[in-house]
Amino acid sequence: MSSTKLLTLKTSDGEEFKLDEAVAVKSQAIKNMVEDDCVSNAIPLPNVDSKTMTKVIEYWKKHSEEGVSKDQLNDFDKGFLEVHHSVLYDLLLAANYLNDKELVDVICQEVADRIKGKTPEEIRKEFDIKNDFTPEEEEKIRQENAWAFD
Amino acid sequence: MEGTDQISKLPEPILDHILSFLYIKEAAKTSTLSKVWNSAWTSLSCLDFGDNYLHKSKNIVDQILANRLNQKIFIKRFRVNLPNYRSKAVDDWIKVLVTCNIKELFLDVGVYTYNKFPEAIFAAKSLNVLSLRGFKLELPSNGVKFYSLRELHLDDSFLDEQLLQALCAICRDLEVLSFKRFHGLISLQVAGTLSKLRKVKLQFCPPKFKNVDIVAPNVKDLYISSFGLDLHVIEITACKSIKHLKLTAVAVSDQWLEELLPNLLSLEVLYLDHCLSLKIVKISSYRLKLLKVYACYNLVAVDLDDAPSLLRFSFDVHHGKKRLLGYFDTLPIFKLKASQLLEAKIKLIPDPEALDTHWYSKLTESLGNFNNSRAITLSCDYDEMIVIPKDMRENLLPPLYGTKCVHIKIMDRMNYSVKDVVDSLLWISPQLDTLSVDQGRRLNSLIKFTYRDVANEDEKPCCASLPWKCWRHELKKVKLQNFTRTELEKLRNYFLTNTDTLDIIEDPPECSSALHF
Repeated sequence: MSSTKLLTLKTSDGEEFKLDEAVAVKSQAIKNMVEDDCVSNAIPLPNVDSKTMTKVIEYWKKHSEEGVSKDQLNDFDKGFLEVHHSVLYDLLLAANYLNDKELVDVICQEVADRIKGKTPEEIRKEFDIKNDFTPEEEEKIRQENAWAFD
Repeated sequence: MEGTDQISKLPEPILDHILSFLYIKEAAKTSTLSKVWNSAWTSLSCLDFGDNYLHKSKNIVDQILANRLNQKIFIKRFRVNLPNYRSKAVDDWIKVLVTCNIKELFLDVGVYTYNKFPEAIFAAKSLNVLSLRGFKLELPSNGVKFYSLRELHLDDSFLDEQLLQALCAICRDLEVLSFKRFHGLISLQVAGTLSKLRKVKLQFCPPKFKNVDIVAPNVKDLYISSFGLDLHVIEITACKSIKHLKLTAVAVSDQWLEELLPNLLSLEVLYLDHCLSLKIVKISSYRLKLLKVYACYNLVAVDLDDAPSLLRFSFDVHHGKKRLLGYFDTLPIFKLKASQLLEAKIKLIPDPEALDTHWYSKLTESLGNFNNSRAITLSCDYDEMIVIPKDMRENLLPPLYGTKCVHIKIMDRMNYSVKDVVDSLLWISPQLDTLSVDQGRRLNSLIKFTYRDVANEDEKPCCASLPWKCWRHELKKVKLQNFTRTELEKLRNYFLTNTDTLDIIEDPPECSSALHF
C-alpha cells in the first residue's frame, strides 16, 4: 500500500470529493495550496460545481493511469470532449480556475476545432452566438477584414 | 442552458486563448460574429499566419501589427512563412514585435538566403522562443540582450562561433538548442554555463563540421546527425543526465562508445544509425531500455550482456550486394543474456536477387540469438525472404523454439500465400502462443494457439529427434482473426491436415473492402 495522501475537495454545492494528492496536483492551484500547507481540512472550490468536478476528476484519473498508451489517451480525450458546447464552458472555466494548463489547452483546442472551416453564420449557429451588429456595422468589419473571407 | 450565448460571456483571456489555436485567417473571420468577438480578434496576441503566405499579404501583416502596436498589446506569438524574402518587410516587423514584447517568433524564408537577420531582435527582452529558417545571424554591435531566451531553433541558417559563445554566456535560461542544415559553425562547444539546457539537436551537420564538446549536466536529449561522415570528435561524457542519445552517420569508434556509456547513468534510449566506424559494440548500461542499431554496415559483434534493463533491441540484417558498399557475407555475432523481457525487432534486408541458401542459414542463425525473448517482430519487403525452403529445414534447427510471440510485417507480398508464411514461421518457432501478421490492412491478422495440457508424463515425444512436443500433435485449439475468406479456407485446411483433432475458431471474415484502405 502506498502512502499517498488523500485530499478532500469541496465544491460550490457542498459535495466532497476525496482524491489522491498525486492526482489532484494536476491543478496548479491545489498544488500551491499543498505546498503552502493549507490543506488540513477540505479544500473549498466555490467556483466549481459537483457535476463539473466529477468530469474534471474523470479526466485527471485517466491521465494519471499507468500503462495507458498515447492512442488510448487520444481516444479517451476525443470521447471526453464530444459534448455539447455548454458543457465545455463549465469545464473550461473550472480548468481555468483550478489552473490546469493542460486541460485548458485541450478544451480550447476542441472549441477552436469546432470553429475551423466554418462561415460566421455556421459558427453563430454552432455556438448560439447572438449577432449584436447592425447590418451596416457588420458589413464595415467584413470589409476591413476582406482578405480573411476570400 | 441551451440557446444562450454562453461562449461570448467567457472571460477575455480565455477567448484570446481559444483564438490562439486558430490561424489568423480563421481567427479574423470571427470578427463579424459579434462585438465581443470583434474585440477579441482585434486584440488577439497570437499571430500565426500558418503555412500560407500570399504575395499581397505584406500589407495585411503590417496592418495587423500596427493595430496591435497602437493598442499597446503584447504579442505572444508571431509565425510567418515568407518564401519571397523581402528584407525591408522583415526589418519593419521585427521593430514592431520587439516593441510589443514578442515572446515566440517563428520566421521561415526558405533555404539559406544569406540575408542578415535584423539586429533589433537581440534587444527583445521578453523573447523566449526564436525559430528561424534561411537567415544569417551575426553577433550584434550592441550585444546580445535577449536574456529570457529559452529555445533557439535554426534551420538552413548561418551562425558563427562568436555568436554561439555569446549566447552561451548571456542566455542562461536556454533549454533547447536545435540546429539543422546549418552553416558557419565548425564546432559546437558548450562550456558548462547553461545549467538549464535539456535538449540539443544537431541535424545534418555540414561537411566541415568536426567537433562537438558539450558540458551540460542537465541535458536529457541529444541528437547528432551528420552529412559528411566527418564528425569524429564528440565529447559528451560530462552530460551525465542524458536519457535519449541518437547518433546518425557519425564516425565514433568502439572504444569511444565503450568509454562513454558507463558515464551516462540515466541513459534509457540509444540509437546508432549509419555509424560505419563501429565494429564491436559493447553496451554497458544499467538503465538502457531501448537500443536501435541500423545500417552500421561494418558491425562484427554486438555484446549486450551488461544491459540488464534492456526491453527492446532493434536492428537490421543485411545480405548480398549493397550498392556502393560491397558484399555482405558475414553476420554480426550477438552476445546477450536470454532475457524473458526482451522484445527483438529485426528488419530483414537481403538483396532480393541473393535469396540463396546462405541467406536462409544466416537468417536462422541470426534469429537463434533471440530465442526465449518475450516477443520477436520481423519486417521484410517480400515474403520470399522469410519462407525458408522445405529442403533446408531438414538440416537446420528451428531457431526460436522457446519463443511464444511472433509478429511479422511484410511490405509487399509476392510469391506465397499467407498459409506458406505461417507454415514457415511455425517451423521457425514451433511452440508459439500468438502469431500476428501485418499485411498492410487496417487490422493485423492474428492466430492464437492453445495446447493440450501435459497430462501423461509417460507419453513419448512425438517427433523423436526434437526436445520439445511439436505443435502438430500438441495443438488443441487455434483461433483465427482478421483473415480474408480465401485465407481462412487455406489455413483451415492447413491446420486440419497437419494435426490430429483440432478445434478451429474463426472470427467471421470481414468483407474484403473493409480490410483494405
